[in-house]
Amino acid sequence: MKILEFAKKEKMVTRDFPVVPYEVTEGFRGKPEYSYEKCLGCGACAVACPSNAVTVKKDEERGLSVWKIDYNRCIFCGRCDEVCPTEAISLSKQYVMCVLFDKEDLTVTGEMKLRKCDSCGRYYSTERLYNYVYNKLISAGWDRATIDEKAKHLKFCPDCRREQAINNYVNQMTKRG
Amino acid sequence: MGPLYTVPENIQKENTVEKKLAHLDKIKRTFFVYRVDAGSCNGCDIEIFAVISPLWDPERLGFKLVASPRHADILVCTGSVTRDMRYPLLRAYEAMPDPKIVAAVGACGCSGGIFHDAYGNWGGIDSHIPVDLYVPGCPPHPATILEGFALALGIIDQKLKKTVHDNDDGKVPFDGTSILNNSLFERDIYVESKSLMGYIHGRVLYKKYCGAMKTAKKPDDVSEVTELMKYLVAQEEDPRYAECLRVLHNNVYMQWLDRMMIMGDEGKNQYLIKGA
Ligand code: SF4
Ligand code: SF4
Ligand code: SF4
Repeated sequence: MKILEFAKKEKMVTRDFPVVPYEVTEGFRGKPEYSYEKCLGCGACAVACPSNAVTVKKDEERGLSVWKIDYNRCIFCGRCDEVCPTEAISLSKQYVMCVLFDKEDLTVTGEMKLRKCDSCGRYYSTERLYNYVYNKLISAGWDRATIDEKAKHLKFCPDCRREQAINNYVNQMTKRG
Repeated sequence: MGPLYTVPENIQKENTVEKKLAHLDKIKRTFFVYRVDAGSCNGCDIEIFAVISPLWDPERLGFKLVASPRHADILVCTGSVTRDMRYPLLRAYEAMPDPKIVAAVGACGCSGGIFHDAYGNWGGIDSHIPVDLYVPGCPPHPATILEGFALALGIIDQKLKKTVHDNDDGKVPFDGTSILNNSLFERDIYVESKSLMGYIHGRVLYKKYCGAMKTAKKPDDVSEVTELMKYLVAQEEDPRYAECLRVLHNNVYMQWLDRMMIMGDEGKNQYLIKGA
């Protein structure tokens, strides 16, 4: 009887969840939402992701960089959100994400064009990343000559860049004698 | 690594998708659930118990927890399969009456989760037995788990679909405009905001600051910007943001004026915003 009295005093606490959406609190860590338009394919999120839910793979045959998130593996830690330079991936408040039968439904893929190195012709970065860095360089308030000098290095892959730096250095040294 | 366990033929025959769907259709009323912990960290199990509490009350939908897999309609598995729990999992699976509906709860159950490359871990539930319902999350929110049951029973529809974006046009999310005609200023503000308040609140702070700066007619006019920031700080309800906006103005913005040779050290003090 005591319980009944108690129950009368308290209102009903059960939530009408599947019918009425549940309001999550401020700061809830839900599904990381991916915005393809903003992504550069830089791969910072793939490096940061502790459970390898985000992967960035090079598809040399098609000349694409394939970004993929698998919510099956995501632990909603937000590290991808933390490192992303453009907020292309950020935690949302979405918690409705169950799927039946096919777990591929829980993946999001984004394909981005790759860019070839001007010297050796191998793929080394995405077009978007190159454009982004180039635009940033231009807007960083340098004069034209400095921008051109810096942008020159952008067009080569890290290996060629290193090689060139060493060659330049050796040339300088031999000139000096 | 080849398949560790092949589902026997007679079970396979009884467990086609059509039969499962027909079964799910039939059990609209009461469904019996048996829960297997195949090596979870217990986070998911606690959330499942949270679901059974009156706050969520899944018995409205007909959820009933049973003590034997022989009574069960749905097998709820949590955790990535460890070597020791693999055999009990298989036994529970085979003991279930056909058709067997298996739900994998948690990132571990769906794919191995954070432990996917750990030693002694044999992958997600679906690398051993066929899984029908995937409930991602680490641990999943009670609402997600409840939604999973509702989805299996056909009360609600599935929201997510496989998405592939492949229309790259090389456009980037940066239009080259900048407040002080130098994007390094924004970078400094962003870095300082993040180091002051972390990435979630830091981003809000950055947006607040830059949003206000964009309304300034001449962002390099120190007296106008100082008035603007004083107003913004006074308007701010959250003292953390107010304090950090002040720091951004006093440190980063003033340093930039110095760097752009608009204003040196002398006369700087009158433009600093004092704390409360
Ligand atoms: S860090 Fe951001 S921009 Fe870079 S690949 Fe990941 S989502 Fe794209
Ligand atoms: S929230 Fe964490 S686990 Fe999920 S994709 Fe981002 S970094 Fe990976
Ligand atoms: S998904 Fe997360 S909470 Fe659930 S068992 Fe795995 S580690 Fe634990």
